[in-house]
Amino acid sequence: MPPIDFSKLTELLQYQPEAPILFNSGLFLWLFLGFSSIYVLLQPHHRAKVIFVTLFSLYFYYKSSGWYFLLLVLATVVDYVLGWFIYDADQKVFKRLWMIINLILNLGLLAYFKYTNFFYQAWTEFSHQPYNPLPIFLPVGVSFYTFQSLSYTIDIYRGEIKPVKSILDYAFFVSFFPQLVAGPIVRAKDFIPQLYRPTIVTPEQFGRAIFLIGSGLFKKVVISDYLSVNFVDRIFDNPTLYSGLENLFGVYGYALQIYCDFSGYSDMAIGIALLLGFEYPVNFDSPYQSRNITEFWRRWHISLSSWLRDYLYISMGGNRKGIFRTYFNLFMTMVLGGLWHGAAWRFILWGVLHGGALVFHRVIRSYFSPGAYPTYRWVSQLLTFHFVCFCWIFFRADSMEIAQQLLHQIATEFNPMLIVQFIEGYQNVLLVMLLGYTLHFLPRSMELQAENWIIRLPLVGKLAWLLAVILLMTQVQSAEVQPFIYFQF
Amino acid sequence: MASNSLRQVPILTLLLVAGLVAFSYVPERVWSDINLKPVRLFSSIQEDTKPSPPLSFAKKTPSAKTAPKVEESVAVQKKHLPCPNGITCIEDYDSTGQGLRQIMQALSQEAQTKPVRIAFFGDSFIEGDMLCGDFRDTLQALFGGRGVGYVPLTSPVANFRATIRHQFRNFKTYSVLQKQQGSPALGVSGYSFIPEGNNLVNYSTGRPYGASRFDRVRVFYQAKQSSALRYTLGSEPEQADTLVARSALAEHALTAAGNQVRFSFGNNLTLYGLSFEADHGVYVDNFSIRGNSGWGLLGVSESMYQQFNSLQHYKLVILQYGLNVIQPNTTQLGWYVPKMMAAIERIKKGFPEASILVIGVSDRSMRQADSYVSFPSIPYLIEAQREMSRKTGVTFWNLWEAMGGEGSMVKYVNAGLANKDYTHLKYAGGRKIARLLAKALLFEKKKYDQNLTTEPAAVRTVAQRSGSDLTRQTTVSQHRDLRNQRDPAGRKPESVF
Repeated sequence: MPPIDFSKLTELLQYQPEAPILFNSGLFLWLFLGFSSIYVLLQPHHRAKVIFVTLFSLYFYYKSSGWYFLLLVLATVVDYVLGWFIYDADQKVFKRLWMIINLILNLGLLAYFKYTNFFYQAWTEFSHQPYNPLPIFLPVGVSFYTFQSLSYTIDIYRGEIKPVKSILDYAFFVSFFPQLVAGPIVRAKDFIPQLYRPTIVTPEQFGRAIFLIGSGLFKKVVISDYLSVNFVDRIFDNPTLYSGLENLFGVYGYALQIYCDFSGYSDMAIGIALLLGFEYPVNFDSPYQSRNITEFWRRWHISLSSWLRDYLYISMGGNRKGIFRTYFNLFMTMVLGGLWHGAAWRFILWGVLHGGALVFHRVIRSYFSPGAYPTYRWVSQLLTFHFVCFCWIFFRADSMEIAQQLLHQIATEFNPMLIVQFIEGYQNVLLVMLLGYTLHFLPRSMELQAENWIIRLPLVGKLAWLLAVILLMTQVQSAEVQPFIYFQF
Repeated sequence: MASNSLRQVPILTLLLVAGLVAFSYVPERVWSDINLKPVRLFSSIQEDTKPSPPLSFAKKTPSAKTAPKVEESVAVQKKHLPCPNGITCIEDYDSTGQGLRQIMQALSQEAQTKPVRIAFFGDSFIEGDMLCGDFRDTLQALFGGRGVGYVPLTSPVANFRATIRHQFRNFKTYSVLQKQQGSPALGVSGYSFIPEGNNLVNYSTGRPYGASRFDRVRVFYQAKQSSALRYTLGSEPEQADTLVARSALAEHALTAAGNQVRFSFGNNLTLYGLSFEADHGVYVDNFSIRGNSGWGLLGVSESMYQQFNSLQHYKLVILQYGLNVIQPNTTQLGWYVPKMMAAIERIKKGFPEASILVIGVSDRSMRQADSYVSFPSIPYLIEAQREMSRKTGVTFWNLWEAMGGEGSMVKYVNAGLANKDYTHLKYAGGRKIARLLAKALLFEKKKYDQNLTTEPAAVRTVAQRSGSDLTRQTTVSQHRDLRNQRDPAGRKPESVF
């Protein structure tokens, strides 16, 4: 084995813009070894544990966003102080005032980093001026921790929770590294009580964590990354180079890719938090099994959709202001939710489609109660899945033009007779897709069985499970890229 | 607390790290024996073990750019103009040192009054008018011209091509890559087409790339007896015309100013393509065939090239190939040089009025562990391409160096200039390379106009290489290798592009 290059090691431990720290990296494994050892020793002492974990989390954030970790510190101090101001204010008007200041600061921060260039570009297009993007760096995870701290202050404002006594405890909550950069979005009222309990990881939780980390790695690296590099990216790069058949499979591939990427990373975050004694709710619940769009949003990125429901939809009035306001609120929640995913018209369109579909479903449901007409479960699943896939096209395409090209190819250049060649040419990609979708459509009971099986394994067995996944992961990561195949069409 | 598994967390992590460290010590041979890739936990912090490429293939491959000091001691230095920074200069292996005089002369003297044509042959790297389209636009902006030049009757990438909108139906396509019994003579682009009943082909401009209109259209065909032609210009009524019988390749010109034209053809006819143009300026004809390694050029007869040239009078022929030859680790390319030399010789005979420019292979990356690296074989292929240019006395442009050499494709992909296959360009990347190529060509024009030359590259590179004995030895032995080696398996490399 070649010797270690210490200059590379030092470089690796510093902020590298192109290499944010990921749970599936070797570096994280090394860091976690040191971290978890010290954590176990410190955990009986609350203050020491809190300081240590917070410092580690800040380092974790520094590694991904450089000096912007100071922004996280600043946001923490401001929200902590405002949380107390809101709580202590003895008149409603002051409570409201502090809340508004808090919203302006938090949403202003989010808007500045995420949307300045978007609105600036829209303005230049409107006024026919040249557009030169302003050099604004988007700090990693800013959307997630802003939402997380908003849940804290809004809950205080609504009188649902009391502010945290110690600013260190609050900093622990905001910066806790498992969910810091990509969610799930954890609520203060669910998380902070766990901080004051003794750090206990039951054997069931331990086994479940190992199961989640292994399956998360599998979803993220073996399925999602493989599909992205070997198939999906090239379709979305140049849809017109491929037949409609390939484009359609590109869309199915992307639907699986984004699910596995997002839910796999969430699973790892949930598993790592569990190893440290913190329990989060499920974030993805086999969403493509949904029979309608409302159900889809109950199963997809649950921590976000429930956040949007509790803090955006309900704040706008929810369903308390008459039927049309309900529809409007529902619709706007999804439009803003779309914009939250990224600053582009495509995301807004994605939100419009989902918002429209949710309203449509609600209208239908008010006329036809569930079960009024017999439908086959798989028919509604198939329809819902295809609607979601259709929306994903706008989510993934780099521009509206690409999305149009892709739809055009599917509609006019389908070339179904390519299917045999296609299966031959993309065997591995199709096998991975088949495996991914099969696992996704397995009943929940089978997933629980597998989880229980891992829980019951002795430590060596758990080790073998993780080693096997990592071995598979390295094989897939270093596999030759599937060559491009151009079918004559 | 008996049920607290917390302590097992660092223990399991330690065991996991230990297991992976143990994997890292397993020799590569053992992994390959069980058909697996090695697991390396330390790869990102280990010292580099990749052997450096042969000296002559180091990043700055011999070119005018790295030449100056040695050159000055050699000869004809008064006329020398050094290659400026930011330009990868064209290497001229013509015995007179003026390998580009035909095109330079035409650009200077003819472009104002008549069409000056460039034939751009290549593979999937330029298909869809990638790179070629921006190269055309750049030259047309400088020297005039309107229209995209030659377009075939049908194309597998018609939807992809952004410089002209192209729809068609009911033509039988023959291609140099799929030889068929009884196929008609293949045209200059490597294709020929037989119209079938109810055929239709429609061309229109109006996309963001390329000219928004053309002034005339020329149809290239071969017909033993006269054949009917119907065409529609924009929204005007359909018109009838006749393609007159000729024994050789013929053209039929229509004054068709506008941005849309539709044709349907009669029987007993072999069609080749159409040219969209105005009466003067520069036209770059894109003759790309995906999967073509270069010797597809030999699939078209010398006489066909000559017949075509008698109608088109090409002043420059560009040959862009290599992606379908290269395998990640092929260093033995001796078999490639003579094969391509035969193709270049045919082009020289087919286009006697043209300068010839060989474009070296572009950067292409492959996956290694968890990152992407350039194919180690690229410098070897470039040296082979330089070798064949030198032996046939044509000019050569090192595209790899212009892109940035080692690792440049990764940078292109990260900057959104190339696709995630780490091989093909996006339009933005094509534009970048088109400008680099145009810059190199314009620098040559500047030299031509000022009657300045660099000495022939053949002289220069030898002189330059003599600057370092080590370098020279490596290069010479490399050339010997290239001459002696044959494709060991004697088979055609896999071609997918």
